[in-house]
Amino acid sequence: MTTTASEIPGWPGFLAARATRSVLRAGPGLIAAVLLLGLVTVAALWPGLLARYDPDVIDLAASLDGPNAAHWFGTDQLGRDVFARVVHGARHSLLLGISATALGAVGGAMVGLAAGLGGRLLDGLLMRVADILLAFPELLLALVVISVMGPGPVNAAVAIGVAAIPTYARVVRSSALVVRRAPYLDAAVALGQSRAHILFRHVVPNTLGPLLVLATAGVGTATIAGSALSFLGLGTRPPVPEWGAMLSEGRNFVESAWWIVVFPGAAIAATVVSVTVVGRAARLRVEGRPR
Amino acid sequence: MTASGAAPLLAVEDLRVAFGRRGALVEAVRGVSLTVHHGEIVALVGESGSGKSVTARTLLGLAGADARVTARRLEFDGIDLTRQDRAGWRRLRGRRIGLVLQDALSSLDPLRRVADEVAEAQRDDVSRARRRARVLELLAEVGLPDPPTQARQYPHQLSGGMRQRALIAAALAGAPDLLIADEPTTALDVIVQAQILDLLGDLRAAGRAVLLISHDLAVVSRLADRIVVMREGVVVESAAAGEVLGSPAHEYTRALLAAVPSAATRGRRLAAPAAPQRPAEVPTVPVPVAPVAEVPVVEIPVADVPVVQEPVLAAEGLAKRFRDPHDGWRDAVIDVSFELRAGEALGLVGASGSGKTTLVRMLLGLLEPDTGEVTLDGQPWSGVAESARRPRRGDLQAIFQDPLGSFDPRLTVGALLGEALALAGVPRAGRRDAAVRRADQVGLPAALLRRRPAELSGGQRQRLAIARALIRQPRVLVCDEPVSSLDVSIQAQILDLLTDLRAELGMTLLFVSHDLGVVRHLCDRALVMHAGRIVEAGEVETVFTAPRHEYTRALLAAVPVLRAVRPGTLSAQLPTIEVGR
Amino acid sequence: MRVAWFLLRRLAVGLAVLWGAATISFATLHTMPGDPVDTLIGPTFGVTPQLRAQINETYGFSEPLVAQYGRWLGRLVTGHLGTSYQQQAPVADVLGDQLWPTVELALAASAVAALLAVGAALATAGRHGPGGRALRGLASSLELLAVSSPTFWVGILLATVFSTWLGWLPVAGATGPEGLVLPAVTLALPIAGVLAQVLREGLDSALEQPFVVSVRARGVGAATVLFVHALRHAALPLVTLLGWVVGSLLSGTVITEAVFARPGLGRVTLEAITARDVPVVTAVVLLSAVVFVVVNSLVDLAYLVLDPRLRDDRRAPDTPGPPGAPARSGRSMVSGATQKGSSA
Repeated sequence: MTTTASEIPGWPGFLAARATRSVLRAGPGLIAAVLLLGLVTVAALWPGLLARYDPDVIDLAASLDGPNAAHWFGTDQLGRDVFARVVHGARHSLLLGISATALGAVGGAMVGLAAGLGGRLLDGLLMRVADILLAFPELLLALVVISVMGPGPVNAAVAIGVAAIPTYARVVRSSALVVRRAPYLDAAVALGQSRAHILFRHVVPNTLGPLLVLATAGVGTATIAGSALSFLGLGTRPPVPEWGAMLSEGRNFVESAWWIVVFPGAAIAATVVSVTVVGRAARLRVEGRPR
Repeated sequence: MTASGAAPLLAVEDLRVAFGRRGALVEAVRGVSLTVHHGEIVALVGESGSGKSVTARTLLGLAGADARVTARRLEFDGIDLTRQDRAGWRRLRGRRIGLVLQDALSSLDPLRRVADEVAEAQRDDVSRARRRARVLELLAEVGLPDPPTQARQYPHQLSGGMRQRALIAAALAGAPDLLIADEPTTALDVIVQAQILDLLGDLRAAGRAVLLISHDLAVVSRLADRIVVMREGVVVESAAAGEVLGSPAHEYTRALLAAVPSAATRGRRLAAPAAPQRPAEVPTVPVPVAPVAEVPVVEIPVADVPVVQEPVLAAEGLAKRFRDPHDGWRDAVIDVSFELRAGEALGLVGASGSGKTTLVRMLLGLLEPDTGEVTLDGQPWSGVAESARRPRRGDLQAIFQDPLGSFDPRLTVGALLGEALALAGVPRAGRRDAAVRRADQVGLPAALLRRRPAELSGGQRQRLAIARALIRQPRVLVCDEPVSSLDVSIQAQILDLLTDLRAELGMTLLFVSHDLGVVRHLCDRALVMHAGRIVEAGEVETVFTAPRHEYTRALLAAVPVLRAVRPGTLSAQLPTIEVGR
Repeated sequence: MRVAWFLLRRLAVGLAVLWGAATISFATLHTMPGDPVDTLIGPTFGVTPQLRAQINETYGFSEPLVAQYGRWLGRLVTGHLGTSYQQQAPVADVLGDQLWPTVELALAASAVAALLAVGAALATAGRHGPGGRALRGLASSLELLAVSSPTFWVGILLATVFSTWLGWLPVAGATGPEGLVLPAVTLALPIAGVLAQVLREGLDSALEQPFVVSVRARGVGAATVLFVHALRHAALPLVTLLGWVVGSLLSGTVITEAVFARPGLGRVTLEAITARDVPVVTAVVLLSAVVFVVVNSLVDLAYLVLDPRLRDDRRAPDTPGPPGAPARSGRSMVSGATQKGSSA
């Protein structure tokens, strides 16, 4: 092979070539996952780009039409375009999943760092409380939080996020305990680094690495949990086109119109699969393969 | 020694083993030929990547599912090994050819009792009681002190030497004609190593053939009848042991022999003179020639390192005990006192578990002693706040046994050096150039600055560790087992580098090692540590030629020494003391 | 002696967790915004001050919180869970009636999940040939799909296909063994997906360990290596997941029972939460804590049975601990915690 401009560092094509190489290495599964996530992101930010119809316009004359050229995913019992509703639903479902995960991860990071890096007493106290909270399945914990705060999309996100805090806190704490004993910290002390430098440049970044990976995959879990709460009528309520709420609304018509149920559910599954695949790739990248 | 006219038990001609899939085949073994006769020990010697272990596993059909094996001849006792199906291999494995791997802790199933492991390879047609009796016989045969007890135990309950014996017993259970031993003593202390090697010698005496695979020529030299030297998948030399060790024909064998540090190598370079200044392991990346001359490196021109009788670092009555989760307290270091004098190289020798690492951590101010005191330049170094030590840390730097672990895995080589340069007061703008220069000083090409430590080879990592330590221009460098995880030829390069830097910079060295040869090569004085105490101290030659303490004597007797003529059984001459545990 | 000590310590830790769970749920549910009387009666009726006072009297709402807590805890110790606001019946009865359908469903789902997971993992572990690779790819894709699909969606689809369209199985609401099939499969699928992945990873990593080379070099066949050696190693991470499995079953029943209109604890929980029936919610929380304590004690016992390294207090000094084993402290109680959070 001869040298082309794209192999010279600094040439814009060089970056493109590098990107192409990493895409080729990624494999078809990861590429599909990334593309799908991109599509979901576009749907969440600019649903108008993908869907022609208004998701809320009722057209009883066209109710329960099967998938056709005009309505790709058919219409529901009120004649609303299912495709438009699935596209517009991305925003509600993803927002629920992402905000819940963010709350859980940030809360977990704070509690976990305090426990892992603070004194023995603080660690003992925080972890005993976490132990007790971990005794409950996350969905039950979220349900209890909702019974206190009442139903609704914001409360559902808070409930799922709060319920996830103990799990994230444990991961951060155990990672902090490993990092705390890492030989490179001894090496940094021996080199003469200051306490603040060691804490902020070595301890915190290395501790939070596993959290980021876990949180990526956690968005999938939280999205499912959020749509489950909506399905049970405790999160986003119909007529808002959230995927779980659409399922709960459409399930009574499933016998005559399968498309009302199949497409929103498939949207959840596809989103969660993509998030998981990307999360795994991120984990491999961060943890690296053993040599 | 053996009848070379008789048909060999194992005959290998032009063996090739490749891995990978179409298009990306990598040949690990590229045309190996060797023979093993009955009652003969043949040693297969090479450094990592030489293909010696792949060769061994191929002889058992265990090279892996994606391995492609071809050979002009691959015969065991007249059986063509290239034509074996699954059932054929199963008949051969264990009963005709046995395998002993290194590190018996991971090579024995940790969830099963020793007896179950040993019984596994026995023929199925014998009764339960007969099988049990045979297990006890085998355990006694390999020299386990109390077979009924050890049969009941799990691998983790045995000491390292006992585990290795149990593993050998399991390999012998099927009464194989050929025993392949792949680095059987690598994880063991020297004294235990000597005992295991004697056991292999006994097997030969009983008429078995042994293929001994090792990276260590000295280990092999005590035992082997013939030696096959491998490098990068190719056999470079194959001859009787005396010939290979006494008058090696190939340049690589000569380099390998020359690289082994010992008393005889004091004051001379270990790495082959033909080797380029830059180590061979560095990948061929075009290295931009850095403008070195701009900022002069601080130089202390010292031709001969003067040994001034003045302590830089001193320990007085140091002791440290740890809480053992089950046994109450365990004394790691007991009443240790010594002085490190300016300009000298002091060796600290001891087996694993002797307390070396705990002592080093106290000396480095990473661990507070329970009693006793460390002083640096006469000023208190232990018992003071870290903030009081920090300004003086530049004087005392360290490199560690596991260089990879001592680097933050997120940072690149350049960033790691940059951190140290920032501490040394180099302004941000000059750090990049300075990093290039510092890397060059230890023989690391500038192209590596963008990599992460995990992407470097073992030797490169240790060079990086040295470069980082030297940035602070220390007067004392503490080296904790810096070469014990490296191949001989890489070890030789690192030892040469340390010697050069010491002469160039006039540093004082505290060199911790379990390898007596390395200490004898490098150090002026030596301390011997055993069970938490310093049992012997003095000039290196005195300690090594006229040891006073029985432990030192036992240690010296067990050390494998390169020799062309094989002496009698070594551990028989040892005083009977249990070492290490 | 060792076993007695182990059980005693387990009991103490378990009681502590239960007390903590009780306290936290009491504190949370009794600091709820709003007047509990309104919750009790429902928003639709106008309440006379007399009735309000009477209810306050009966339930002790006007007492200080600490006194309420003390009284409640005292009753709890003697086995009284209180009276459901909504059904005006003892909580023990409300839950007791619904216990069996849920246990039945959970047991059936566990069996299905175990069967699917072990089958899938054993069929694909350690197979690196071209055929094996394709099979592995298929299995892990299906597992990923099972883990990523929301339970309620899968339930609705299965019911539509097998009950409504094909008519093979009874429609939702049916009792009897046929009525159990679809809910059990629905509940089992995501759990089976996770278990199969973990078991295969465990088998693969066991097969890669150095001792396997030793074993094979003794002439031992592939099946023996897989069943006698590797399976036991792979069971260790699986045991760790047991707590997570039980938790998933508990939360899964809430959704599955709603989808299939089955009676059970999940439905009671959902109704209690919607109606803010504090005594019932508290009792469900406590019940879940009891299950957790029991399951984790079993997990720790299973570790001791499976791994001799954990049985030993006295180990050779140079021996590292088993990789991936839980720390030997009271904390191993939550050994399943980090694996949690894979599906809802």
